[in-house]
Amino acid sequence: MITLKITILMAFIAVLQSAILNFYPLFGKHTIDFICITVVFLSLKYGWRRGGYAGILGGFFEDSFSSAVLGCNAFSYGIVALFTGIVSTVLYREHLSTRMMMVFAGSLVVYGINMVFQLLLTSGVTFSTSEVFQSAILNTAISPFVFYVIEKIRID
Amino acid sequence: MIRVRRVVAVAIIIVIPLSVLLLPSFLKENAEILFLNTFSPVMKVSRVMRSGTDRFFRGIIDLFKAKDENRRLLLENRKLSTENLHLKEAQKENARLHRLLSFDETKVEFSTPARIVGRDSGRWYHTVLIDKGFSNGVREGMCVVSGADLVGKVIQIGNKVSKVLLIIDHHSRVGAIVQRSRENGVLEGRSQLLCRLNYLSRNADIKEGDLIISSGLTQGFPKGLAIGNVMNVHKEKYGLYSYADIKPAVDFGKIEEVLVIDHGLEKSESL
Repeated sequence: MITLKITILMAFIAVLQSAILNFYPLFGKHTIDFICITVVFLSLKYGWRRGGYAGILGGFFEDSFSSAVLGCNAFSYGIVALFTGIVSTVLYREHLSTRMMMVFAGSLVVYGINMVFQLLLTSGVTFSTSEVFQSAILNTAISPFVFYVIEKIRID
Repeated sequence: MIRVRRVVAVAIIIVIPLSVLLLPSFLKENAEILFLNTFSPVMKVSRVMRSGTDRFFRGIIDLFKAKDENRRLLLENRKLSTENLHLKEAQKENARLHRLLSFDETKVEFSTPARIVGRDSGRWYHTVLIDKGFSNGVREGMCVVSGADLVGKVIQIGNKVSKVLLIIDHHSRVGAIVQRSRENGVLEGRSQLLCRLNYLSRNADIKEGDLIISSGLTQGFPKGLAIGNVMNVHKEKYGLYSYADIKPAVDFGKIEEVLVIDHGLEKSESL
């Protein structure tokens, strides 16, 4: 039942992000990565296996709505779930600051993996490290609201 | 036992996406089209919701701007009426000269208006989803424009939804020329809402503000579509080429409607 709810939640977030939220970038250029925030939350709350499932699924959705190679984002969100799962075993994961810290780190992991894929698959790619950090900070700042909403949905 | 299960789960999380990455491209495309077709009705509903909210807030803002805008538009109207007269004359003259030189008119075989129903995050990729697909006559490789400005090309088609690669995406390559001096180059997407005109000759006659238009040398793109203006020109100390950064004519952050056109693509495929 939880798996079904996670499937519906990820599909909903992917569509919401692609069809509505990406049209309103913050400061004209930064879009919030709601899939990453959700994956981190699910990994902390329900373990990295469920987080990993959510990550792969959300990544596949994002890949099919963009020009990314299918599997690229699925891989990066899967790794974020694993990373969150491993780190959370040595951290007190109930505290908001820990969750926010994990979102920040998770965002950097997603950007890092995407960067590597871009460099491997596309020629002439440019990227700005400061923009990556700004986006990660914005993801972190928004994450408490997303956590609150997902908590209210009561997946379990 | 728990340890083994954990290792298997980790392997699955890593192996599944990686094996999908290595799948043959036709299988990946089919899977993506399946996703697109499944979610296209939801995306259309979301677009209606989004445009409704947009209209409400814009309506309030527009009320405050209406008086000044009206005065400005009246003045502009007068100016444009005069300009229109001159342009009509020029159009007639142009038609006469075309006939005289036996030029081929730029033929558009098919065109359909479309609304943008989805877009990606814009961090690494720059694509949009439009609400027209195979059933509306849209085909892969067709050109997408906004007015006379180049937007991109269709790279994937679902039944009622298609994916458009914008000219600012890293994967985009379009043949382009400088309108004033007719210098040739290849326009490449540079993300961050910019493009770069590459492979210009070292002594190319190009300067800031020059208009860049499509050269018509890339299949599916008609000649003469506005691409953008030159922001700055880079000439390296050594090397054969120079390049220029281009600010696109289209505001990709605000674009909502586009036109999909077929510039002899179907004909060339059937040949």
